[in-house]
Amino acid sequence: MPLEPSLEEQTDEELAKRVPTEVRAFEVIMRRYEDPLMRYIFRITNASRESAEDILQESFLKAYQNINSFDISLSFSSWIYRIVYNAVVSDWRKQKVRPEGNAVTIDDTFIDVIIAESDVVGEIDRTYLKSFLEKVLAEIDPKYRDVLVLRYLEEKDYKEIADILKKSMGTVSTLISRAKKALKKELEKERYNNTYTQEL
Amino acid sequence: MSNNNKKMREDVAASVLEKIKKGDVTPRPLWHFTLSNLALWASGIFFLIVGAISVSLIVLILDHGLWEEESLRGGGRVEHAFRLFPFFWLVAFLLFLFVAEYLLSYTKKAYRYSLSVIISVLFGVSVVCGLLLYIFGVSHTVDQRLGNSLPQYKMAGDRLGTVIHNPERGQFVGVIRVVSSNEEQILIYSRHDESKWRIDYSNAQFRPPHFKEQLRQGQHIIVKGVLEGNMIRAEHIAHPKLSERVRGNDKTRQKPGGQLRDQEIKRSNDQ
Repeated sequence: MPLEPSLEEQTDEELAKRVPTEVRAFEVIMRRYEDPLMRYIFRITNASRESAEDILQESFLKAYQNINSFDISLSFSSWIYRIVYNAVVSDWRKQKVRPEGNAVTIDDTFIDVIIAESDVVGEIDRTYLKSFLEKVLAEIDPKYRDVLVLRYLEEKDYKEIADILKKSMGTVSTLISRAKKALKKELEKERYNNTYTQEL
Repeated sequence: MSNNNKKMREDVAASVLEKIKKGDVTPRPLWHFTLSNLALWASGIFFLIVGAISVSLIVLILDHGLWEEESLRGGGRVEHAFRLFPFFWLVAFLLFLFVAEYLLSYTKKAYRYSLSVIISVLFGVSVVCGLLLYIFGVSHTVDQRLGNSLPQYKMAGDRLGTVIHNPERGQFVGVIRVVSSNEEQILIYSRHDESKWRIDYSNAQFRPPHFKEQLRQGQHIIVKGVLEGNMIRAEHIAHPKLSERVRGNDKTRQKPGGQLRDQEIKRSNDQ
């Protein structure tokens, strides 16, 4: 009789099936997702560490309560990201305002994507570009930030983003396209300002 | 990852596990989700069906009124259609459509489709189902039931009469109560002014032509003619398009004691 793989070796979906009868399976899921989900919360909110912790805890409790509603046609990752996103939105609603000025930390992958897709950034210093993009992402319309964060920082594909945000793929595609245009516009403005400053 | 972060993670997971183990939180049973999803589908489909019935009543009313001969209408076709159009049912249909959309948008996978796609599909399904309900006579049954149970409700025939029945202009809409083939006379009863009219159809043009042979008690009829004394000399006689199979007869609306025979025509002649 073949040995059953340990819980740590099982896929998220296999673990999810076990959760109602085996709490340990949920513990493994929590260990797997706590780091990425905390990072995600920080990327889309300006929550303090305590608030982020509360949101994460609430999300895990909701995931546990609703584990039987997990739809196997979704990836487990999309499902749990959706729960976290909803918890964040619910937190904003409690505060009655979506906070501005999120401290979004971006990595080199995101900068590479922006450089590849824009012809206006060649002349801007990479380090400067990083801090500039972080500032723009913090100030951009939240609906654009949500898709940009998921696409380029969390590296989710369009279907996963659609499942997380509960929007159609067409809507997600439009949002990403508009978000990139908005970013490009800001970059063009910045390039113009830089050039003008240098000429002076 | 710093020690602080690691400790924080352990705190979150430990706190969640503690609540689970204490029994503060338990997974909601599968049937709960299945049932709520089913309830959403069922109520969405219910409103979709009610919307389809609204469509079938729109078709019934328009079909009932738009077929009759041009000469029988007052005003042009557009004006006539506008006067006849059941705006109430149009509003009801749109309302039911949006309620159905709202309910179905909360089902598990509805978000994968754009609002315009969902609305278009629901609209198409409602219209197709509405036409099928009309073809199979459901709209007529609903029309009759509503007419019998709600005094304010205007049945398709009543609505047509409201638009066309105008004795001063020689236009009459009613239900045949008596047919006297020998005398080429009929007696019609109009609910719009609760009047009876004796009609001589010996020189009338029928539309369709074979309609003359199909005159019978309980049939809706539209007459254009000239009032002479207490008799109408019919020039044109038509009946609304509504098929006999769909319409059946109008016994449900006949008053008790409606078993009229040729004697009633004679009595009417004598008056």
